[in-house]
This record gives sequence, C-alpha cells and structure tokens, in this order.
Amino acid sequence: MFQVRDLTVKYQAKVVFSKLSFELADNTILAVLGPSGSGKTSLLNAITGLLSHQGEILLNGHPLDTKAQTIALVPQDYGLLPWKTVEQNVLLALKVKEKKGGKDQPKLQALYAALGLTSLLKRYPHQLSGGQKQRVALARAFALTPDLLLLDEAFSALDLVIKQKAQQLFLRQWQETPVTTLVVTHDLKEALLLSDQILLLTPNKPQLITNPLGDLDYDSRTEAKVLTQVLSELEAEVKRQW
Amino acid sequence: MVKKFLRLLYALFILHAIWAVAALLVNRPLLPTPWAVYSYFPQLVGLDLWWNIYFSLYRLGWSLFWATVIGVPLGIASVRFPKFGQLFDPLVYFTYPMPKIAFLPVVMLLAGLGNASKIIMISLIIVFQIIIGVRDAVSQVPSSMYQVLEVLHANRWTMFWAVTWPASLAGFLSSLKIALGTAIATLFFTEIYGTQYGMGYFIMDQWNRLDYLAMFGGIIVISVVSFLLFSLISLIEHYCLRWQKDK
Repeated sequence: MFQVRDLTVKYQAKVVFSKLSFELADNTILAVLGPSGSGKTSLLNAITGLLSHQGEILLNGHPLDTKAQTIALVPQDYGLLPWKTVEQNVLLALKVKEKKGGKDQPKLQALYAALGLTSLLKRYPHQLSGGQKQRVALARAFALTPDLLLLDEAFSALDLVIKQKAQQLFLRQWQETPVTTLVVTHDLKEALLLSDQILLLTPNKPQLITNPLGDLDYDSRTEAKVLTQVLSELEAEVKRQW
Repeated sequence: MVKKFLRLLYALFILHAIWAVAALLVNRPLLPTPWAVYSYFPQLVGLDLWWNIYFSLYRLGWSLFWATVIGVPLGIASVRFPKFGQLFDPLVYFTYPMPKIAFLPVVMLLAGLGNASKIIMISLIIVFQIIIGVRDAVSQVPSSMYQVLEVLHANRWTMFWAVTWPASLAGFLSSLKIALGTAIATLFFTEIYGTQYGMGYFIMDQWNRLDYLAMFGGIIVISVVSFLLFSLISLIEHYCLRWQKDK
C-alpha cells in the first residue's frame, strides 16, 4: 500500500498543494492528472525526496526511504546517459542499487527481448529513436524490480502511433511484473488507458476517481466507443474542476 | 579517413599556392618562396632547432597541465556547488574579457624572466577558456540524469563518475582545442623576452639576423608542432567521446 497523508509542498515560498492525502493499493497504477503548474512534478519530487515537504509518504506502512526501498523513475526525457550504451545504462542502475539483477542474465535478456532491445544493447542513446530510448528507460526501471515505479510524462514526447505501442508494451511488461506505479500525465486519454485510479490535481481539492476502464485490458480500453464515452465524461469533470 | 587526408592535402596545397603566388608577386627576400624555405630546412637543424622545439613544448605542456588542473575542478564546482558558483561566476564574467597579457610586466616582476613567468602567463590566459568550456558542458546536463540516480540513493562519487565527469570531459576537450591556439600565440609572445631557446625566440632571432629563410622555417616548424598537438587532442577526443560519433 502506498499512502500519502497530509502532504504539503511549497516551492519558492508558494504552496503548491496543501494537505494532500490519497492511497494506492499494491500493484496498481495511479495516474496523476493535471495541467502544467498543477503540481504534478512537485508531487513526484516530494515522493522521491528531491523536494522538501510536510506530511507523510508511506510505502507498505514505512516512511518512503530511497535507501531501503527501490524507487525507479522514468523522466520525460528518459534520463539516459549519452556516454553509456543501452546495456550500460541498465546495468549502472542495477550497480548503484547493488542489485544482483546484472548477474541474472537470463532474466535481463528476457526483459530486453520483451521490450525489443536485444539488438540495440551496444548502441548509444543518440543512435536510438525516441521510442527506443523510452523502452531503454522502461527496461532500466523494470530491471530494478522496484517497490515503487514513477513515470513522469514518460510517453508525452512520442508521436501518436509510437506512443500507443509504447503504452501497450509498458502495460504488457507491467502485467508480467506488477508494481505500485504512479503515472504523471497531462493527457486524459493516457490516464484512462494506463491507470486503475486517477488523481485529479485540481486547484481547490484534489480528487481521486476510479478509472471506469480499469478492469479492461489495453486493447479493450482503446476501443473507440467505450473510450470516447468515458473520455468525454472525464473531460467534462476536468473542465468543471478547472 | 582517406577523405580526411585528401581534404588535408587540399588545404596544404591551397595555402602553399597562395604563399607561392604572394612570394613571386612581392619578389623580395623577406617573403621567400615555399621551395626556397623547404630546401633550407637541413640547415635549420644546425641552429639548435630541436632544443627550441623542446623548450617550447616544455612551457606549453606545463601551461596546459596547470590550466587543466585548475580549470576543470573550478568549472565543475561552479555548477555542482551553486553557492560556490554564485561567488565564482561574477569573477569569471569580469576577468574573462580582460586582456591578461597586459599583466605580463607584473608576472615578470613576480616570477622572474625564466620559464615560470612564461608558464604562468600562458596558464592565466587559457585557464578561463577551460573553466568556461567545462562549466557550460556540465551546466547543460539535464537534471533528469542526476534524478534517475538520486532516487536510487546513489552517492556523490557515483554521480560524479557516472554523470558529471563524462559531461565535463566533452567540454574540456573541445575547450582545450580552442585554448591550444591561444596558448601557442601567447607562447610565441612570451618567448620574445628572457630566453635564448624556444620557437618564439628562434623566429624573432632569425628576423633580427635578416635570415628570412630560417625565420620562415621556424614559422613552418611551430605550425607543424601546433597541428600535431591539435591532432593529438582530436585523437583523444575521438576515443574518449566515441559516444558522440556520427552525431
């Protein structure tokens, strides 16, 4: 269980949000939805400890601790080191966390294969397309078998077709190794396609809603009729709130 | 590789053609033809040419060493330690445009006429280029590269070796190539005084003796040495920054 209790975050003396509380069941995905400046990234930075805050952030009943627990982050620009190959980028994360994943080659090779990276392992990031870089960042995150996975606008830089493929690939991999996940996004459709729950970061009172498509698999969620209907309902809700 | 070599030959040919045409047009001993200069080369060896090259390289080597040892850490620190950067950056901002060569008399008075003042002067001029090159390279590293490691509780050393150092190396090597040209120009200037060895001294001495063939020979030698050093840095850059290849 991931819990946020009475979280207050200030950025340059301005309150970004005050006394924010929500809970997320184990191995579920929460989409944090909000426009620019709504505090999505601040929430993420508070969770990762990069931004000081008041209130409690608990994972499995214990205060979130980057030392004792493994948190994997997939930033918007993927955060790959350009001087390291695909494989070295993944292995560095494992080495830093002193995880033995690097030695578990079959598991790692299976992960590379699942994300279509096997033939790209010796390439440097500048030799990859946007979609490939994104998959490397996902591989690095999943290889860590994290306690908490954070995706910060991780699909927003991709074009429509690649984005759908990447989302599908992400969900498929996530279902193989489920992990408590926060997906920060400004895209309503992405929130509906990926999450079990949606946290609307509204200016007055943040609202936690259950994704009506949460029980469906990715392909069923993308079916136009269902998606369009739910999307328009969510859009109306968002407009009402903002 | 072959293409690069052909391009080099082309540049050499054009430069020599311009030189030859200018020499034929001027038609005076002060601007000899390329073939006259090259045929005079065996006699240059008798004029302590190797010692002159050695002393110039000695001064240049130490200058580059000190500029690196001082410039790289300062460039990194000004970005990675923001409070230090706030104090240090204005100093760089104000002193970088200053003509440091104007401090030559002061440096000469403090460090004497020997190698020390020459090395200090060259280092003083090029260290700023290295500080700025490294600082710019490190400041361009996206914060996400650090964040990915920070959430994994990476320590400062890991982040330095994994992120800051490779980024600074790119900035250092490209600024070193620019600094090399400045360093050689300053070297020439500093070798005009207080020495009887060095390529700067050699060229000016031959000029005083009205030996224009030897003077031009000296210019060719210092140019070749510069080119070789530049190529060496390019080679190191090519190896160390192979992740940038075909970018």
